[in-house]
Amino acid sequence: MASDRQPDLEPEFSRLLENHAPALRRLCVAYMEDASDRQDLFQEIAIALWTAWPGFRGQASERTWLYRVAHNVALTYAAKRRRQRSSEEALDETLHSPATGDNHRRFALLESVQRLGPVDRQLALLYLEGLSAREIEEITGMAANNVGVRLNRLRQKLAAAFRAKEVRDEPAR
Amino acid sequence: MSRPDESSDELQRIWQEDRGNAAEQETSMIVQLVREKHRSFQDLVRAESSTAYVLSLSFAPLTGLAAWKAHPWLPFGLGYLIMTAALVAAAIAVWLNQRAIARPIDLSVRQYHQQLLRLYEKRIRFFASSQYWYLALFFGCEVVLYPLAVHFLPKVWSIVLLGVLLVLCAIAFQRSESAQEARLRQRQDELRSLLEEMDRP
Repeated sequence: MASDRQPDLEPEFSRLLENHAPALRRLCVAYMEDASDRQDLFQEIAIALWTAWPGFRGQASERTWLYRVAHNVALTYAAKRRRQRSSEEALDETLHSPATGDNHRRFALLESVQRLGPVDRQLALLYLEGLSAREIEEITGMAANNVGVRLNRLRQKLAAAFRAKEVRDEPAR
Repeated sequence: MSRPDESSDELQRIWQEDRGNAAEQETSMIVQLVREKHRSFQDLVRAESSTAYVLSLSFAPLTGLAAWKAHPWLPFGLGYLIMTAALVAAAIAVWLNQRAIARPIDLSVRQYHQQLLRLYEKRIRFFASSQYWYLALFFGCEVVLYPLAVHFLPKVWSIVLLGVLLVLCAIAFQRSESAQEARLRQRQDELRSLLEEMDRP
């Protein structure tokens, strides 16, 4: 048991979580529309990281390792929730309300990401977090050329959807 | 009009500016929560395994002892012996299945999902095999109960009654196994389509 065997790992784990918590929360927001689901997913990811942390030997970078675990948990959790819920739920507007300026633009971007299929959403999230194509390939296990082609297409798709949403919402602001 | 590269960088900037409600929970609180949740999860897994072991490994010595004590009376001795063998087989199957559940999560997404596919296949085989040792256990019970049935009914009717009960039991196990298998097959299909989607350029 990781928790009983190595209590000295806790400060290191806290640092890991503190450094990457914003990125993990953004990932939860992109995968889950419901606020309590996001919270649960975040905890599921934290538990998986805590369990796997003693086995981390540094073969991959800390960030790559963390995203591997987080995306594996998120995909499984999202599939589980999809099975549990037949109907789609509305976006939780209390956490990410379409306000003005950058907040509005973030909401538009989030909406574009949430509309993607599971594989594209995963790629988009990794790209938006600023990971390189090499790192994305390492995390997903997808072929290098496939990652390149899809990223290129996704970049254009996201930018276009984002611009269209901005133009559409401009008169309302 | 901005260039595509610029708008891409702009998207990353906008995305990363969202701190994702960082103030929602302190890290130390999350770590505490994770420790507790992890422990309770392990307790749950341990409780599930121990229920299976208590049922199989504590009853197996009892039925074994009963088989030895009752060996002069063939139906009792044989019935208890069959029950003992079924319980031991169940304990081994549960132990092997529990070992298969422990899997690394820090693999690449593709490797992780391929591993999940294999795990679901193992679970399907586990459910399929479990009906046989449940049936063997039930059959052992019936052999033990046979003298009692003969006491109240003619020999032929006793055999027919116990046979019908065994068939009904087999049908019930088969239905339950099919439902579980269908659920797991559906998950396998979802995983396969995800992996196919990953290969698509």
